[in-house]
Parts: sequence; C-alpha cells; structure tokens
Amino acid sequence: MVKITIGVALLLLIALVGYRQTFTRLRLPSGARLVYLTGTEFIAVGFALGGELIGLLDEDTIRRLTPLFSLGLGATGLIFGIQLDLRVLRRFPARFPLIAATQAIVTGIAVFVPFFFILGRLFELESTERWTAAAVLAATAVCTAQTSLALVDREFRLRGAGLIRLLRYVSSLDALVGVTILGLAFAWRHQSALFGFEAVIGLQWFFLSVCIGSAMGFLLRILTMVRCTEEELLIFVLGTVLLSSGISLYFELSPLFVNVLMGIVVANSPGSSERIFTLLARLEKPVYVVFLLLAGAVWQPGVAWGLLLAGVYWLLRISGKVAGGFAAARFDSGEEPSSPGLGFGLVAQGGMAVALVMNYYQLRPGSVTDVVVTIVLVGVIASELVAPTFAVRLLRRVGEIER
Amino acid sequence: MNRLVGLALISTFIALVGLPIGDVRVFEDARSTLSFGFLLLAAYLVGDILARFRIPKISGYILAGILFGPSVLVYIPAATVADLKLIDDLALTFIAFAAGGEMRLAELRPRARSIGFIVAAQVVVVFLAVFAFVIAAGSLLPYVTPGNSTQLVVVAAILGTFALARSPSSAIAIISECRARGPFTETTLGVTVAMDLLVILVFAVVVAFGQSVIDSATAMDLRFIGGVVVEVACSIVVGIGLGRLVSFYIRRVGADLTVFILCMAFMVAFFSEHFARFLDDAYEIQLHLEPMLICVTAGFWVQNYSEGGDVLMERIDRSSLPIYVVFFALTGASLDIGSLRSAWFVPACIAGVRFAAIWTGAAMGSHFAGDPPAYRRWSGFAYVTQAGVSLGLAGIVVRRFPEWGNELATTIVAVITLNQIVGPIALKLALSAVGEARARSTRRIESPEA
Repeated sequence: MVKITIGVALLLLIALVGYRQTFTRLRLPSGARLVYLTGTEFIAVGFALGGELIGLLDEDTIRRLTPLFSLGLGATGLIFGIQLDLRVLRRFPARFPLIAATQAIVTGIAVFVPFFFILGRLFELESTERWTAAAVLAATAVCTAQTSLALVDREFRLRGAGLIRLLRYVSSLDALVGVTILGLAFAWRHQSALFGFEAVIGLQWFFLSVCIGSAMGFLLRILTMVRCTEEELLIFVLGTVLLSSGISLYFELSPLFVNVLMGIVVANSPGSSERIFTLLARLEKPVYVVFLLLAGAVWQPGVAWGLLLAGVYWLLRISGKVAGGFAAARFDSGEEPSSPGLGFGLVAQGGMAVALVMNYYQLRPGSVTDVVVTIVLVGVIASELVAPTFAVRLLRRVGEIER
Repeated sequence: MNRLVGLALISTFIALVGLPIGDVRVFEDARSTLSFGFLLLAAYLVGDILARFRIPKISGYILAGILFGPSVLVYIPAATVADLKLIDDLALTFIAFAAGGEMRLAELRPRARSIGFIVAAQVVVVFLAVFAFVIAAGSLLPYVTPGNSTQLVVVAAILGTFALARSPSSAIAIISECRARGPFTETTLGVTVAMDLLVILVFAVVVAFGQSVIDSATAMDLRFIGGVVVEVACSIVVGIGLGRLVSFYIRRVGADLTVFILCMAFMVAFFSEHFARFLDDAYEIQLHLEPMLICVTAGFWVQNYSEGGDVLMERIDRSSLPIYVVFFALTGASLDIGSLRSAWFVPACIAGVRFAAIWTGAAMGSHFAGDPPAYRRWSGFAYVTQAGVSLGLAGIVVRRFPEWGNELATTIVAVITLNQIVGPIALKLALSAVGEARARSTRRIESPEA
C-alpha cells in the first residue's frame, strides 16, 4: 500500500510537472510535446491509477467521486456554452456556421450509420442501447479540437489567415452538433412519458433538458447580477454547475448538454458572462486534468473488440471529416477562399469528445459501454497524433504557411 | 433580495426533484452531485443572509446543513451525507493545510508564553470543572449505574477530556472570514492546534486508565497509550515529508497549486485510512495516522521552513471559500439534532460548565502571561468551537466501552453540536472585540451593473 501510494504521488507529480514544463520551459521533440499537448499523459496516469492496474481509482471510488466527475462534465459544458455569444458569432461570415454544421452532420452520419449496423451484428443489444451507443460514437466523432491548429500556430509562420480562420471557427463550433446529438440520444432513451401523453416521449425529455438548462442559466444570472467577489462568483458557478449536472443526471439526461445550454443563456443575457468566463478559464485546466485522469481510470482497453473497432471508428471519422469538408466547400463564396480539403484540418478530436464519452460512461447504459469508451479514447489519441501532420499539409497546399 | 430569490429558486428546484414521479427511471448516484450543488449554494446564501445580522458565515453554513439535512427538511438524506464523506474528508485535510500555513513561527514565538500558560490553565481548569460537574450530576446520566462510582469516575474523566477538544477547522474558517491578523489571532490558533494535539494524548491515557479500573482484572493498557504517542509522532513525520513535497512543488512547478494540494489532501485521507487497515490486516498493529495532524504539520512546515509559505497561503486563500462552505454545511448536516432534542438538558449543562471553565482558564493563562486586559476578557470566547477530532474520538469510546459507550457518545455529540453552533459566534465576537478582525470588503469587485 505504501509503495502504491508513493507511486501514485509520483505519477501525479510527474503529470503536473511535465504538463507545466512542456508548455513553459522544455523544448521537447514535437512527438513528445504532442502527447502533452493532447493530455494523453493524464489519460495514461489515470489508467495507471484505475481498476486495471493500481486500483486506486476503481469503480467504487469513482462512484464516490461522482460529484467531481459531474463537476468536470458540467464545467466543460459551461465553458463551451458561454463562448457561444451570438453577438460575437454574427461577426463571422454567414457561410461559416453552414460549413461547420455541414461537415459535422456528414461526419456524424458517416460514423453513425456503419456503427449502428456493426454494433447490431457484433453484440446482442436492445434497440435503445444500439441507437444510443451509435449516437454517442457519432457525437464524439463530430467534435474537433484546436490542438493541431495551436501547434501549427506555434511552429510555423502563417501567411494569410483565410483557411485557418475558418478552421478555428469550425473547430470551436462543431462540438455544438455533437453535444446536441448526445442530448437527444439521452432523451430518447427514456421509455416513460413525462407530461402524461404517450407520444414523442423523447421530445418531452429533450424539452425537459432545455428547460433545466435555461432555468439554471436564469438562476446563475440572478445570483451574479448583484455585486459579488471572485470567491462568491466561484461558489455560484460551482454550485450552479453541480446542481444542473445533478438534476440532469438524476433524470438520466446529459449534464453536458444542459450546461452548454446554461452557458448559452448566460452568454446571451446581459450581466457577468465575461467574469464567469474569466473564472472558468482559470478553472478549465485543473478541471480538464482531473477529468482526463478519470477518463483514463475508467478505461478498460482489454475489451477484445474495442481496439479493432477503434481503428474502424478512426478511419470512418477521418473519412467523414474529409467528405464533410468537400460537401461544405459548396458554400464557398469565393471572397474568402476555403478548400475542399477542409476536413484534413479538422482531424484533431480532443477534450469535448472525451467529455461526451465520459458523460455516456457515467450512466453505464449498457453492455457495450466499455467498448464505446475504448473506441473513443483510442480514436482521440490516434486522431491527435496525426492531426498536426494533416493540418500542416493542408495549409501548405493552400499556401497559408511557408514551406 | 437576489440572495433570497436565489435561495427560494434552488429550494424550489430541489423540492421539485424530490417529488414522486411515477415510474420514471432515475439515476440514484446523481443524488450526491445534486445535494452537493444545492448545499454549496444554499449554505452560502444562508450564511450571507445571516452575515447581515453580524452572525458568522460559518454559523450560517452549519445552520443550512442542519436545516436542509436529515434532521429537519431532509432535502439531503442521511445516505447522501454519508456519500459525501469523501468530499468532507478532502475539505478537512485542505483546511488543515490552511491552519498549519497560518501559523507563522516568527509571530508565534513572541506568543509562546501566552500559548503555554493558556493551554496549561485550560487543561487543568476545564478538565477539573467538567469532571467535578459530572461527578456531582451523575444521577442525571441514565447510562451510569447507580452506586457504581468507578464507572462514574471514568465517564467524568472521558467527558472532562472531551471538553478539552477544540476545532482548528472552525477557528481557521472564522479567522479567514474576518481576515484577522495579530497577536490574539496567533495565540488563538496556536492554543487551538496545541489543545487538539494534547487531547489525543490525554484521551489515550484516560481510556487506558478507564478500561483498567472498570475491568479490574485488566492491567492498564500501556500499549494503547504508546500506540497513540507513536501515531502522533508518525503523523508529524509524514506531515514533514508532505511539507517538503509541497515546497518542492511550489519551487519547481508552482502552477495548479490548488489542484496539487487537493490531490495531496485526497492522498493523505486515503493513505491514512488504508495504511491503518493494511497494518491491522497484515500485522495486527493498530496504528492510525491522523490526516488532520499530517496536513497541519505540512502547512506549518511549508510556511516556516521553506520559501513557499506566502504562495501557499495566497493560493489556499483564493480557493478556500467553497471548501469552507461545503465542509461546514456537511458538518451541520451530520450533526445529530435528534439526540439533542431527546436529551438536551445534561449536554446543555456540560456545555455551560465547559464555557465557564474555558473562560476562567483562558483568563488565568492570559493573566499569568501578562497579556493586555482585553485579551484576558475575551480570550475565553475564542476556544468554544468543537468538532473534527472529538467526533472521531467519540467513535473510539463506543468501541472501547461497548456496554454504555454508545449512550455516552450521544451525550458527547450533543455537547459538540451545541459548541459548534455557539463557538463560531463567540470567536468572531472575540476577534472583533480585540480589534483584529478586518472587513473582507477590500476584495469586493463590482459587477458592471451594480
């Protein structure tokens, strides 16, 4: 036990020191830096702490850590939602959201349809379980992270900003489609009517998600509209996130979706949204670290089909992104040239996808949970590893970075 | 007004969630998250509303815990409070870091004389006063067999020992809330931590003595006393090790210090529990490291023997408020108001005697140390709070004296409940009266609309 505890302390220390050192001081080779940039090391540390190896963060402990887990999910949702300020989004060309939505929907379909059949063939699943698992895989596939773009930004001198601006916009917005798919998938799992009539039960629950998110946004707005200190603001934000995550989880709805909605309400109503965003930006890294540790801890890569299916998922996702990029190129106005190869710049997957699959894991909805977690985690790591290469090639081809 | 509206809204939400909803499937594990969020908001709002009436915020947090917890409205059921034990432990160890970090040797050294005299006077006066009261009022205790003077003496000694216990967590929370700084504050913190350490040792002696006199066939269990001494020593050694680790982290990394401390706090809570279990299972050795003492030592070490003390306190201070809110709200929710309702008279008398004795002992100690008259007058008000260690020791009483330990523990918990309600108010009053409490408003930031 002593050995284990010391080992855990060392692992945590290595993770935190390594994270900091990579960003500030050390000049690691780009491969190693990429591992740190994507947070893969935290997944590895979490995996080491989890039930598969050391056993410190076993299933029971994680169950006891449900509030922290939910806080991580909720905060991730709120951070995302609060950035969706319509006044800011309107400053971008009107075709940008269309491009973002098109590539996201194409990617989602490219992953959903094959996996709906694959899961049906490989596992004996109930219809709801099959739909949910395929929808979760589609939702995670849709999400794009900005890590590869950040790496390109740091490593190369950029010339012009047309495509990279579009890539940044799409990668910061397309997760909304993924989160909405998850919100719908969770609502559709319900079998009992909420408002008495036995029709469109899924929609009734989806409506409840929207109501909880809006009400919590309104609550946060009320609490922060009078003067409050930084510490008070921290309490209001943490408390509201926990409350909304708790209520949505209690009704087996997606806390991620509910908190995104809460963030959208806060961002688009007058008040303290900037202060809340500044506060959340400070919390973002620690929350994300804890979150990745937990993701690693619940991961069971030993599931036989997992690794093979992860490869299929990875290929389907990249194909979907590329196809989505080609489809989205139809919206080119010619004023600001994009590229039919847009999808190659959107391969990075990152944090939101991990959050989505953890949200799914938390409810442990069925026998394929571990397989789905494995598919997504392996897919995320693989995508993160190749994403910078794809992004650099794309930007070189369109002449936005110097050769 | 917004606070009241907010409180009404969240109470409505939680009441709606609790309504029966037919055959709708719910995820019971989420109850802890829901309750955690509700408690954090509700306790803070209650504390903030009561602060307008000059009541310490932590009393408000405790009150909210009692009100919304299993004792009154049951918005948070007992099972959920138990589920949140891990969060509670985490918060306690974090607060212990803060308590240790708050003790600066440079400021404690000039107060050593006062601390020494007050501790000595309080140990003697408080123990004897409560002991004498219980002997005199023995017939009021239903679990003391009439005519069994041996049992009465043991019960009196145990209650006398418990009266010595303090609550460093409450003290540090009030000091932080009042932004108090100065000789009186340093003395208060020094005495509180020293008394809590001392009570563990005195308790070991009293329990060993009690068992030997009750069961005359048994010799006094010196191993138990020795074990406690070793536990304290080991906890201090582990604490120094942890302090070194934290100062190394501050020196070499510095970033995400709050997360690092929370991780360490989790490790300490986990390590103490599992290490004790491991020693018991593998070698039949009962050695329980005290997480609170480990963290107090670590914080003290970082503050006084490394260059990271100021950084540590600045980071802890920045993120401590939610931790205090959750910790004290959970403390309130865990308090057994039922036992107080059913048998309030004896605990109320013991709490009264304890308070009078604390005041006398503190005044005597301050007098011998040559402290200013205001300190003598108010010193006694600073030491009423009680929780943490004493609750843990009450569990040992139950195990060591199975025939009547449970009923005695109920009396002890009832006394602690009263002291935990009155103590923070008394401490805030004392800090204000000696002029060491400062307003928190300097850090208040106006929102754009305000």
